[in-house]
This record gives sequence, C-alpha cells and structure tokens, in this order.
Amino acid sequence: MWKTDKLLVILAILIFLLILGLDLAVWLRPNEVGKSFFQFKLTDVLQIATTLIVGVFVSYFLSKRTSHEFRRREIYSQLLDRIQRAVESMYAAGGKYIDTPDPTLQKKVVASLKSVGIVLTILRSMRTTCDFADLQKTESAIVSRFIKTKAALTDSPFGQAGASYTVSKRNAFHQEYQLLLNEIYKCKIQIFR
Amino acid sequence: MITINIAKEFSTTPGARYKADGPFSGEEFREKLLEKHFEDPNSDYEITIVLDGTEGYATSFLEEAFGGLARKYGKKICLKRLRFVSTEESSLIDEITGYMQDVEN
Repeated sequence: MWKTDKLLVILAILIFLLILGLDLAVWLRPNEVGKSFFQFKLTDVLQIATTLIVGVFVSYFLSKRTSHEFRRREIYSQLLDRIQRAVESMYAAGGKYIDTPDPTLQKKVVASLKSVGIVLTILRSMRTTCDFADLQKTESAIVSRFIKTKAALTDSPFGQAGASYTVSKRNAFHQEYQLLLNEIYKCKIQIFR
Repeated sequence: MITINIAKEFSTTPGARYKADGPFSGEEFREKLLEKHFEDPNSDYEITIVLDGTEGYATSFLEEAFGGLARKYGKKICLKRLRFVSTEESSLIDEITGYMQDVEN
C-alpha cells in the first residue's frame, strides 16, 4: 500500500514537472508567449519527458547505491562495537585476575579472550565484502594489538600457582589494552570518512 | 599427513605453560603429542593442528607448545611441517606462527 502511494506521488511530481518544463519552454520563446497554457510542441514534450525520466532514474540509482553503502558501513561499525564490548569485558576479567589470581578467574579470562577472537574472525571474513577505507590495514592492526594485549595478560605468570604480576607487567597490560582500544576507534572513524 | 585435534586428543581446557603450573599445560601437550613427530630428522610429513573446540588458549600454553617446539627442533622445520586450522579464532594462527618465527635458531 505504502509503495503504491509512493509511486503515485512520484508520478504526480513527474507530471507536474513535465507541465512546468513545457510551459517554461514556451515562455522562453518570445514569439510563442501568446499561446494558451496547454499548447505545446511535440518535440518539447519528448525532450523534457526524456530529461525528467533520465534525471529520476539517475537520482534513484545514486540514492539507492549511497544508502546501500551507508548500511554496509553501519553493519561494520556495529561489529566493531561488539569487538569493543568483548575487549572491555576481557579487560575487566583480566584486571580481576591480576589482582586476585585464581583458577575460576583464569578460566573466565581464557573464555573472554576466545570471545574477542571469535568476533575478530567475523571481522576478518568481512574483508572480501567491505572494500571501503583501508580496512585490511586497520583490521590487521587490531588483530596484532589484540595478540599483544593477550600476551601481556596470559603469558607467564598466568596460570602459575600463586601467580603475582609485577608493576611493570600490570602496566604493560593496561597500556596494551589502551592501544587496542585506540586501534578500534581509529577503524571506527575510518569507516565514515 | 596426520591431524591432531587438540580438543579431542588433549583437552578442551588447555592450561598454562609448564607441567608444574597444572594440568594440560603447553609443555605437556608438546611432549605428549608433538615431539614424537619431530624426533626422526628424516620425517617430513605434514602435521595439521585443529585448534577449534576448546574453551580458549592462554599465550603461555601456545608459546610453550609451539615456540618450545621451534626452540627444540628449529623454526624452519616446524613452520614447514605444521599447518593450523581454526574456523573459530583465525587470529590464533597468526599468534602461533608469530611465536615460532620469534624463536632465534
């Protein structure tokens, strides 16, 4: 129903524009000003109708393409939001483990790392479908920063009985997390450039 | 060519680096499932490691299992003979390859 209404509105606008165009064509010729309102030449009708139809199709095609492209970027951005949430929950679990290492938290950390890894795999699979910006480069930067963040958290002394993280190890984890977030934001900004 | 599925043949909950750190460590995995394929220097068959199906991997496990193997038998031979499969977490393949490449030998 809505689609039919839309078509009718477009058709009405087209007819209006056609009549307006034809009258303008008549009024622009001084020797034809005296003619009545609906007295047109066939060549004028054809010329303006063709121009209007081509114009409508071109603008329809362009708007369709633009909205499709924007939707793709939006989906990509949503995926980056998911990655960010997974990274934040990994950081929370990691922070808790560093403060009070125990086997239950250790499992939580490993599971949260896997969650990040899974969404990163989805991001990678989009490489072929999303050719905007320089995504391959930014995606590689995110993956490589994630591996470094993971190493800062789960390399030794992770999993060792009575593990204790030195101040420099703690700082390295916080710093890597920050750099990983930076990469995610860089990628987000690049999408809408 | 042989295939080692970590989740099926070792554990769905791989642990930390050393055996002293607890069960299913990287060291234990390397000794039990990997080293036997590298003992004969003339062996050149491909070994496929399936990484899917576990609850996840700590860096210490991966580094000790694969980095440790490269330290013991040489990174060139390890990189040549090992193939990794992970549909769940493709970044694991980059991670492991990186640990083997970082080995100085």
